[in-house]
Amino acid sequence: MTKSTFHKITDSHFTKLVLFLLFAFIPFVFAVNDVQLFIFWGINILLAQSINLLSGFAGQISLGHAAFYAIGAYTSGILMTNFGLSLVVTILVTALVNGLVGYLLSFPAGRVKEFYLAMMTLGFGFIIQEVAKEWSSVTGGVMGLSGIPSPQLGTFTFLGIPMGLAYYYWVVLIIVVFFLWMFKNFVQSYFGRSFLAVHRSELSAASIGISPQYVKQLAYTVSALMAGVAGALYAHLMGYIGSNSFGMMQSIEILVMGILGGFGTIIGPILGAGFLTFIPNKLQFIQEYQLMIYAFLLVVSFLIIPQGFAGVLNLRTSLYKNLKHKEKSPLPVHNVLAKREIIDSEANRSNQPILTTTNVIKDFSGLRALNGISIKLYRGEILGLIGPNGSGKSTLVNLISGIYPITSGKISFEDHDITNKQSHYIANRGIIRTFQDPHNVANMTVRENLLLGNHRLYQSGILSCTINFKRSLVEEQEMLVKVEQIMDLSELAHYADDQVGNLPYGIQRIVEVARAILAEPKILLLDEPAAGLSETELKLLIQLIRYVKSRGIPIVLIDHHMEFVASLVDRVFVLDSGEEIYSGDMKGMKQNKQVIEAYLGVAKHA
Amino acid sequence: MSSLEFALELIFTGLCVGAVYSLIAHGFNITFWTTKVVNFGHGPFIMFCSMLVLSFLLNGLPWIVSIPLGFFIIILLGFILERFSIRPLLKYPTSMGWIVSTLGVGLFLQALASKIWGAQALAFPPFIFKATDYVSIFGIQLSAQYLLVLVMALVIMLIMEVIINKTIWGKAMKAVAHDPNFARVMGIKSKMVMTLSFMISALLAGVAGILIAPIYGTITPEFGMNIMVLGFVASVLGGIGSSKGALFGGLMLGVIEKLVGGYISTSAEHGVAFLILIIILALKPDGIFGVKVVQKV
Amino acid sequence: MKRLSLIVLGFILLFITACSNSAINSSTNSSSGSKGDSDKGKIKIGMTSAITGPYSEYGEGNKRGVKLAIDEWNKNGGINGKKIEIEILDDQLVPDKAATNVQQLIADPEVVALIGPAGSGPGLATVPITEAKGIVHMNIVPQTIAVTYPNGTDQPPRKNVFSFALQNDVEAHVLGKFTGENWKKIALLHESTAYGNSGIDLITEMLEKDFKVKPVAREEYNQGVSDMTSQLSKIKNAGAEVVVVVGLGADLANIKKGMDRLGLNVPLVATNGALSLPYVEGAGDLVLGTIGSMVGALGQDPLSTEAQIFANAYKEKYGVDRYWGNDKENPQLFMSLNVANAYDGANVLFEAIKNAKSTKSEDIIKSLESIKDYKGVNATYSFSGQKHHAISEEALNLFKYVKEGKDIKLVPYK
Repeated sequence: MTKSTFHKITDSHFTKLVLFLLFAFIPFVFAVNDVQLFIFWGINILLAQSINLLSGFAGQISLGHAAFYAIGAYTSGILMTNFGLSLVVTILVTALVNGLVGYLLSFPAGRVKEFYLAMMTLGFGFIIQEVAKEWSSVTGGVMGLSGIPSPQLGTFTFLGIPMGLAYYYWVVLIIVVFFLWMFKNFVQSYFGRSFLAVHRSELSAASIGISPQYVKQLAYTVSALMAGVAGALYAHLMGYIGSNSFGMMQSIEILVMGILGGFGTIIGPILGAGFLTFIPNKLQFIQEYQLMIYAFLLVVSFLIIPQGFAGVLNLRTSLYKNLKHKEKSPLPVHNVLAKREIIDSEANRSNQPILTTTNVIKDFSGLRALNGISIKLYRGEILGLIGPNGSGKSTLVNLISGIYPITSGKISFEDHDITNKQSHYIANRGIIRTFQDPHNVANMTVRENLLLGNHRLYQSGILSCTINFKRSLVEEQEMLVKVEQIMDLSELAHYADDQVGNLPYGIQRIVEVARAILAEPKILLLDEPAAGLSETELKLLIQLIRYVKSRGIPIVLIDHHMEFVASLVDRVFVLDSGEEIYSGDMKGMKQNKQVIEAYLGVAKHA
Repeated sequence: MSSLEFALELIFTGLCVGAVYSLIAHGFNITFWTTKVVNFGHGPFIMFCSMLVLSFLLNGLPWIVSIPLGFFIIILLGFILERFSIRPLLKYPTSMGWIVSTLGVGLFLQALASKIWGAQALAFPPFIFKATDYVSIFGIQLSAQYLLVLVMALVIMLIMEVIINKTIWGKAMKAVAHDPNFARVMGIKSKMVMTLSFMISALLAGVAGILIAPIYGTITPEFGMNIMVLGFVASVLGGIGSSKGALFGGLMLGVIEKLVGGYISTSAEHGVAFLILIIILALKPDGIFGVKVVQKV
Repeated sequence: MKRLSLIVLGFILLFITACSNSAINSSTNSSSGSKGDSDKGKIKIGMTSAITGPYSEYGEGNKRGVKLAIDEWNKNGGINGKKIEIEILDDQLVPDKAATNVQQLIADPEVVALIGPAGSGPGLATVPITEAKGIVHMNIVPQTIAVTYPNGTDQPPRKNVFSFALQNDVEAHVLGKFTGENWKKIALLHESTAYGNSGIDLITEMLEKDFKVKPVAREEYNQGVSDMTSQLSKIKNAGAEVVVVVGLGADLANIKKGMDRLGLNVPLVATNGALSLPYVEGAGDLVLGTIGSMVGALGQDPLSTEAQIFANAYKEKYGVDRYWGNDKENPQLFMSLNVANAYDGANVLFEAIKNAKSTKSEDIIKSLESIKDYKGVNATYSFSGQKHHAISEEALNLFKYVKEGKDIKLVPYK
């Protein structure tokens, strides 16, 4: 079976319906204990997807995920036993409480990453467990909380109807399917893509207007919310919860479900959760070695199947919504870029600089990298920023795009002071940049990466994207059309569905430039875009830059490739050791003594 | 007993307990220097070495043979750990891979230990000092074994400081930490330095094991994992990668825990420790003695 | 749409032909004891316990006890001619796993009774399930009263649960009575677990009610902590004359060492942990003078006939191992709490099934409730409709560590 037929089958509504019906029939076929296992599978799917969102998509590792699970279980357990609230209410309140906890945790957790984050979440997990253990008046302490209405005991009612395990299974099934549907919509929207962008590199995400802070807050909130719902379902299933069900081992198990299944996909964690639910139970005969096998899996899973089951089975989740049957309706064809000269109400002031740096100074631990640089950039021009290695060109771009804080001086853009503003804020104002080495998201396809460029243009709200409101779908289609156009323009259509990480270096560069163009910049900063490009790729790049210029958008271009620079720029600005040594046209530069001195023996290739 | 005496006693025992955390935290530093990796299975390494030594002793071997034998095996494990569960994973940009795989090695050792020696608590015989030996300082009795750990933590810190600052090895390590490829160009065998750092770290786990086990009196397969987590808190508090940080972070954590236990409630001891972990990480991720690393673009 | 309806039809057919014990069937008619009499010539028992993991000491011990009992019965022809079979599942003392295992076991129509998990957490998580199904649940290890008596010992027990565990209240009464009679300034120390908390609560209640003594201090600690200076200092400052501890042996060793170091030279009275191997091995000579309470059966000289049979059978099958203890001749006292209890539980269950001549849950329960003066290893068992626990205060003895020559010995106190 070819990959595409496989996808056609798995994606069809008919298959989904059949699958749903199959699952719905499980209580008729299987015995109680197996139905209970299926319920656990459902709960574990929610947990695995919860950590998938946080660690797999947003890249925030968590070794304390059981804490969210615990908070969910206790909240709903307490609400139901003490206040007799119904499942619908407790799940909603639990989701709310957990979302809040996750949101609050995102503040300290958002400040650290990788190993430090692992430590912090580990600590968070321990704190919650300690609280559950010691706050005995509320949580029942070490004795646990019993008497929670449970379908296992026949004490559970839903909307007034007493429910057995089979009915509870259907409730869980519906909740899980609903969550998976929303989850899929969410990760296939610009929100999901922004998560992966932050995962790959916070710097690069911010450079196209994604706020890493916001992404993390959202990731923690939604992830905690999902784990909380899982906790609520668990509490009702068991009828008893104790603090030792939510220890470090539980956190690790949740993480392993995600890793084993395959982070960053939708089907992966479902499989991972299923594996860890059914295998230990069905392989009781190896019980003596169970812990060892489990530990062994932890050791080798990353080595042997770094992409998890999903990687082995080649089940990548695409990260955009393509409405095949609806797309035929002709959409109005716009240009990728609106023409600035026409739109800008300030067009008549076009002799005013759009970007001004005034006396910018940057020190790195005592070393002066830039000394009093003042640049003016005018609408519609291409400014070449040149100088030998280490002269401060990239530093200047980094200062303008808000990556480094400025030591002193001022940067203003369209009459706004943007000095020391956060990078995503600057990007959102319209200053878009590329990096010396391409900062695409390697495991996303070309099309998905290009869609990232559109990120700052999206208007739909989070709910609209999650519930697939028509407006959000139409918007996604519009963006996809823009992407098609830029792919035509940059001859990338051929690679549209290839993962960027597997493409030749030159193509990756072109993708990054195309992505920046899609962000509808008001200023485009290109940091050595031509480095490492082949002749044909270079031509493509020039074509793209000319296109941007034709739209009236000013560009700052850094490059060592003098021919390339000369063929494009209107004006050059030359830096040496952090000082301005020349500013003017190309011709003047070639005769400038200082410039010649600076370049002698340094950049012969220029 | 006066209240001053009580406070002093809490502080002194805090220092003693903190020394245990320091000893563990030292083990994290050396690998962090070279690879920015921390062995999440360090705790089970501690346990496994003490279990090994114990079972050699029970089989009639004398201390003088049991300890080197235990150390040898644990160093070998350190070597295997680096080769098979860390090096192949360093190529990934995230730390998720090695965190999970080292954790896996730890859990495997734990499972193996309970398969071999059972899950019951096994008594560990006194080493150097008897369990009841104590030293009186300002009228406060401190367990001699604890003081030994304190001295060891101090000695290890001094040795580490000397190695890292004064010897060619330290320079090699620093170079590898800075840029392994560059170090290779300079003629330093980066890979060997990395492997060696894990072997030394495993040895430190072994040393910690035979010094700490007598304090606990009994050891179980779980022993190690729990104290490792507090060792983490200690090293983060002091700043991971810093020997001074490991020592003072550990001591500080011990004293804080005991003061909380003495004046608030013993049940809040660990909770407070983890709260400190979160606060320190949020405010000063590189710890009190750590140096901030400038982010490369 | 035709294809769809075909598939739906297929499902309906599948449903009709599906096995009869599907979830929907058993959850709609879950009346207690729907088990039919099995005519297959065997009787199947289910068991979930901590076979692996950090608490496998109890799970594995229980497994051995139960297997010894089964071997004995099967050697003598089984129960009324039917061989006994057992299915053992591992829960690692994790409540979720225990609950899943119990569901799995009771879903098997052949399983007629259960032997419950080896800890209070999984115990509390599983009893509601077995109670709802009405299947017999033999409680072996969990000491928490609520497993058997959800509303306290003065209220009726769960219909289906029969306890062979050393219940918290029984242990607490023995210790409370002993300390209340002998001391006025009593300090309490306990591990921060369900076992430790509830045990100390019961002792406190008894001291205050029966002896009008208010404990001078109450402290707690986490299992496996190495240093208890702050707790012990507070106890010392309170001027305690005796320290009562509810906890495990390994922790007791650290407590005793701490007491010695701080010069807190008062008697230590503790729960059964004081009589376990880790305490003696961990604290060495310091154990002298420590008083602990324990099921007395294996401390008698000579052993009762039943205890001797058990001891011989164990030694024959498993030899002198850690469960047996250091003394080659006599099994250690602690076996009462991890092997002998399960052995007794299984024996009593089989006896009840034999008497009932039925494997219906109601019949077995009725038969269990009419067990009178059945001589087991740990105690002589008698149950009734109101009393579902077996180990009472009479079965408990206080033991004290003394030195005989070079050896440390445990002798019954007074």
